[in-house]
Amino acid sequence: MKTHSLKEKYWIFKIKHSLDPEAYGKLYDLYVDRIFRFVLFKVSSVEEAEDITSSVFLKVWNYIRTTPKRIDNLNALLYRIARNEVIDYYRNRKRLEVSLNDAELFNKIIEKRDLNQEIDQKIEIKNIQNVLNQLKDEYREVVILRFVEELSIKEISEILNKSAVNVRVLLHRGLEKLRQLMEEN
Amino acid sequence: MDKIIQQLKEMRQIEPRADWVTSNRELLLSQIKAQSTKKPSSIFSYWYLVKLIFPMRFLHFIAKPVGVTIIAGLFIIITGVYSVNASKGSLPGDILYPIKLTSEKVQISLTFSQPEKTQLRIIYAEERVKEIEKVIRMETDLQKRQKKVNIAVNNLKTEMNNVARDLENVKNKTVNKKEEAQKTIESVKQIDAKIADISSKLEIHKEELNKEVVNIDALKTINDAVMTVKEIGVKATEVIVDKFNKGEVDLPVHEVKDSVDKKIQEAQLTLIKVQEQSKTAEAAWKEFESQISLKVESTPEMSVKIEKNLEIESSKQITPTTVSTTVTTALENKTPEVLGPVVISPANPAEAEKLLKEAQELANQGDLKAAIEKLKLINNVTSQVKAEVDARMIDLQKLLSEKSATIIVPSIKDSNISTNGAIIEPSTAKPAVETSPAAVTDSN
Repeated sequence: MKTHSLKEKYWIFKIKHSLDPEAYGKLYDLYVDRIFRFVLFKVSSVEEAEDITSSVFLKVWNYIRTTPKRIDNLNALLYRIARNEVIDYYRNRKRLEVSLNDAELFNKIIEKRDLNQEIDQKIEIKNIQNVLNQLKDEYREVVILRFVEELSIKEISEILNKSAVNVRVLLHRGLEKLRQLMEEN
Repeated sequence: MDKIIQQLKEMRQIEPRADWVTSNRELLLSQIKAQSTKKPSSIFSYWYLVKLIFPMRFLHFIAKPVGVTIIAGLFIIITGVYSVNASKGSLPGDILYPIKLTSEKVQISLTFSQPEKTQLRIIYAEERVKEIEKVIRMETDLQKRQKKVNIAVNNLKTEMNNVARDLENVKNKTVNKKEEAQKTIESVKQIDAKIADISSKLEIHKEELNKEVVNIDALKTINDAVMTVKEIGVKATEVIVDKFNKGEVDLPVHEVKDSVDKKIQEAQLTLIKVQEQSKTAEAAWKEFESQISLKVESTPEMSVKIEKNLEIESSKQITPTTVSTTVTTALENKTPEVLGPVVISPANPAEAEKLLKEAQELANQGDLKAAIEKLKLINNVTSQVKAEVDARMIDLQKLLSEKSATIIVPSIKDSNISTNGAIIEPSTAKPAVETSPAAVTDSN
């Protein structure tokens, strides 16, 4: 996923310049899925993810409107703000031991899909998600951003505010750990 | 490991609920609309767009320098255009005058067709004449006027020389097509007409300028210019005659002969004018001479002046008598071509008249080419004579202007005496007078 097609840049400009809601709507369409997914993997509850995603987009709008800095990477910005929002969310409530509520998740996510096709997927997703939850936060983040969201190392380093080297190391260790956990299960 | 990655990738399929997405979107936009007020757009926000599109480094190292260079270039071009336009009315001696000359040269180099180049040159020559007119009218300081006229005349000469070269090229180039030759001839005729115009104007101005004391170089320049212009007139006719003879162009014979006749008549008129001028010069010199002899006889005045000289000059002893003798001797020993009335060696006008007759005969016989050659010779002779007459007139004027201040005394110092060209030094009371070497040794 590359940062910023020319179109996106134009939209950002429009937002800042003329405060055009429609332009922001387009940006929303582009990014909502990713942000939602990202948040979902962190909070494991669909409703919470939805709420947090809304507040993320609102915050980003305000940020674009008011910042004097030029926005190099909207992608990174969105993820960063989403991440911060999740952190805030956890600060404000006691962190619960959440194991993934399989049934709820599956129902909501794949309700439109063909069941046959999904069965294998279900199992595998279930596996992976279980394991993921066991992974340390740091590792999980990086792994998800890299393989689920398919961001580049550079982008990830921007989002997490870590160096590229750091990101690579985390990624490597995360995958190792994941493999171990998979084998254990 | 790959399996893990694979599984992870599959997790991409997870999406938010469609209805949630839509409802959230509407909610979001309504919230936004509630907040926003339209900001007035300004230039700076467009700059923000540019900044957004291009990465910083590009802007810094490429776009900015390029932009600055373009603006600087535009600035130079615009000032260039502006100053060229402003220079169009400038006169020699103005600051912008060189720009005018340069722009003319550029104009010429940009025209590709030869006849057009010649036309342009003639136009610029006319421009020089106009400048001379303006300078004469506007500039009151004589020295400055002289300088400015000089500049203009020099440029005129250069242009004329170029035109002469062009005409020579036209003559030498054989043109095969009749229409082309016809066109060439037409343009040559035009050139001729304009040249005549320039020539007459120059003559008028020359007479005007001669009324004041001028230095010899300036006069020489103008004389040269006038001569060159006349030569070109003859050359133009030569080209026509040549082309006619070669059969390259169809012209009625009488037309060609008429133009040759015209030139001969012009030469005649010039000669007559020169003769008149030489007569005037002779008369003026005679008068001056008589005044000198009067002065030489008044010894008492002279002795006073000589004593004054002695105070300045401590080297030699002179007695009034010595002085008077030397002066008389000097006057008697005058070499005809140096001191004394202007005597055009009688050979010259007669020679010129003879040449004129020959030229007319040749033209009548139909040998136009030879007639033209004769015309050239006539022009040469006439201009030589004219030059001499003019030079003598200048000498005379100089002497006349110093008559009241000084008495002509043979100088004691050798260095003040020169045997060529009258050089009067107005600063001291001992102007040098042309003397033959014999007189010098006498006084020493």
